[in-house]
Amino acid sequence: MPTEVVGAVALRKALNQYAPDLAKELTKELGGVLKPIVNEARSFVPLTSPMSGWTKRETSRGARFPKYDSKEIRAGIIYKTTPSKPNKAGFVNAVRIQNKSMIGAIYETAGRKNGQGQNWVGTQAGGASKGVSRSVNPYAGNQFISNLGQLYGSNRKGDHRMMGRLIFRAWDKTQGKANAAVFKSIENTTAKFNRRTAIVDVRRAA
Amino acid sequence: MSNVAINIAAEFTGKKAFKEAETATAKLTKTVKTLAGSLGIAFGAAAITRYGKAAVKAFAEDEAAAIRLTRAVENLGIGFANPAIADYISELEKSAAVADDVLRPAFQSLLTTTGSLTQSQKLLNDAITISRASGIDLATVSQDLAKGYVGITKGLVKYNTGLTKAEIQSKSFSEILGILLTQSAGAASDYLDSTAYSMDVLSIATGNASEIIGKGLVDAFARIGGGTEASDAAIAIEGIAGALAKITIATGTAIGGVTNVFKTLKNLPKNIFQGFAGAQTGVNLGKTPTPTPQLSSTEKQRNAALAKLEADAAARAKKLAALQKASTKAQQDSLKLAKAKAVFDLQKIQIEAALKGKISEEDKIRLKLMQAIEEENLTNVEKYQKALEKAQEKTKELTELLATVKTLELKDPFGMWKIDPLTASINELTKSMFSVGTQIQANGREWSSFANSVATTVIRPNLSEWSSSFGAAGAAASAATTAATAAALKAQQDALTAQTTAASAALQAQSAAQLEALKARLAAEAAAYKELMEATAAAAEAALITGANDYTTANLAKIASEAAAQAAAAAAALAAAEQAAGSAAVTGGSNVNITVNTGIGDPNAIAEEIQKIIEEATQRGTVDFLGIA
Repeated sequence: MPTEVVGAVALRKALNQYAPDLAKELTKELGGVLKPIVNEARSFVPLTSPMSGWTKRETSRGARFPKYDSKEIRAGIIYKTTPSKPNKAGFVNAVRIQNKSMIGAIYETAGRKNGQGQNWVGTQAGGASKGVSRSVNPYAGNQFISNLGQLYGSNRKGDHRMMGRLIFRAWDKTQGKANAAVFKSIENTTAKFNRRTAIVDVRRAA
Repeated sequence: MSNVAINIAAEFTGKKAFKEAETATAKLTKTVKTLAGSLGIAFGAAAITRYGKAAVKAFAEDEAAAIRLTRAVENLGIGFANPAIADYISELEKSAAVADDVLRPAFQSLLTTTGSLTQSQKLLNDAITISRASGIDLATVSQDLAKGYVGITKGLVKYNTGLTKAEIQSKSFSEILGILLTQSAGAASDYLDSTAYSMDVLSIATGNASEIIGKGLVDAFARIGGGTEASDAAIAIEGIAGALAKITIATGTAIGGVTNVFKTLKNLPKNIFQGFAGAQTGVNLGKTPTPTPQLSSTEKQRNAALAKLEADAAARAKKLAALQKASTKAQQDSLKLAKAKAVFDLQKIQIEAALKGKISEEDKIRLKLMQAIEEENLTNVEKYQKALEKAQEKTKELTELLATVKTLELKDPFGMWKIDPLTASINELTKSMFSVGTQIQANGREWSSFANSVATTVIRPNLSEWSSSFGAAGAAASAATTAATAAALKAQQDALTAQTTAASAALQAQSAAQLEALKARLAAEAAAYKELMEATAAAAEAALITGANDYTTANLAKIASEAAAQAAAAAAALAAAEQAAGSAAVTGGSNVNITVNTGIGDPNAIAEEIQKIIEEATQRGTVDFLGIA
């Protein structure tokens, strides 16, 4: 779960406007922390498809299931230090690591919700529910998830949102050190900026 | 793009809901502004043209819908009710905030289905309530209710009534409608308190304004365009807009003047454009009074017509209900019959009986599947079908495996071993020993069977004879005789046993002697074999050292003599062949000399003689020999 901060967006704006050198320095420092994690996450991407028949397919309704492409997955793993758009809850994310590609997201998160795959109802079942497997193979979901391998990351109180196979695995390996390093960089830059912009009482100084 | 990310640092910037509310307010303001200033200063000539066209289109669609409804009402024979229906739609539009262009088709579908004004109005109100509660659009809801009214309840499944498909089919429409209304109770009134209602009211007002403006534009511009149709109005609108644009470009100040006029007129009634446009073009565009349709029927007749309509509709509804009831009863009866049949269903009985027998697992699955098919139990059908497929696959695998095993020929693993003479002798000896043992056993069996046969054929008949000869009176004598006979028999048996034992001993002794002899023979053969091996080895060694040359010389001489003999024979054969060839040359390869006896110098005579010879040869059959074909 992200750590909530106050003034991160304002700091970023202020840095860009009044201290571009500090803005660059902060970006560089954050990059120094996040880049190795991104590289490690990319290294977890299997070169070949974990399923022999993982090809692109399209349903009759136009929904697409992408083909496995390790290049695309690696290219989609990035870090960002610029504030995002606000999410539904009203939070803006200032620093984040993303797995952007659709195929990467599938590889990253498959099996989070149902470790054994979705409940199988078969091809003949009625309804339009998306939470069930309509494959001809009753064990398709299970086979798919078991072929992708283990999920890494914390699983606190059944919350699987911090579990994954690429970025979450790499992040989990840092054991919180990267998180601390990010905030230390932000705090340092804030302190520098505050020092630089401190109003000097001219009369008292005189 | 996916949303998989690790958010390290996040900042709360405000709830999205507040922003949505702000956006909604902004939109509302914009809508109001659009309505108020639709032809105001902010719009240029192109915008006026677009708005005018849209307004005309909206009006045309609304008018078409109204005409369709009017026609439908007239076809039901209650054309006089059209104004009342229009009022009802108009009131409903205001109270329920549903646009009239949605209400009209919905009402029309209900009216044509039910054939009753009161039923249609009731169902339309119900449809609005259900639509508000379920979020499904009114057109769909009213269609579903109309279909449900005539017994097609398939569409009602989507309203999540909690009833199964079968239950929906078995229940009457009024029952299902009751459930739907119970679930949707209060939804319509709740909606009236919501912001969405206010928005819809405004939206409807905007739409109506567009329609009203559109009607005014059609009437006004159609006259400018020289006709009465919407197409004439469109031409006129474009013409005026073009003229306005030219004015804008030419004078610069004209826009202000024109738009100020529009601004002043924006909230005026719908016919403002008639006057304005007419004044600009010099055409009298005052509203032409249209004659109000006079209703021909009296109040009494109208009431009678309405009463008849309602009565007909009620009768039809009753008929439909009866039909549905009959259909439901037929279905239930059919189910009952099917159940009753199942009791005496021979097929099922046979399957049940077969299942109780001793059968393989695969057969059991087959029977269960057949049973499920008979019972039309889909769940079990799927279950056993899968199980059967699995079992068949396993059987196939097993068959393939067995076929593979059969192809591997199982040979004697020791077949390739070479047995030396000593081992062979031992094997032979062992065989002989077994044969001796077998003979002994056979002799023993022979004696045993002999003794048994004596006991069966001689002793027992004698005993029976004795028993039958002597009755109860001579029991004592008989006992004595029996004892004597028994003693005699015992002696006989003892003698036989002794004889058997002696014979067995003799046989054993004979066997032992044979065994000893075989052992001795084996030892002798082993010694002989050893000697032979040694001698062979020595001879081989000697032959290798000394005898090789002699053997070669002797062989060479032998070969030379044989070659000479063969050469002589060949020469003789050659001579014979030559002789034969010579004789063949005399008979087959020489010329034939024919002497023609005739005078010299007379060619005719010579020719005749030759012809004669040929003819004779032909007659003899030797003409080929002469070489004449």
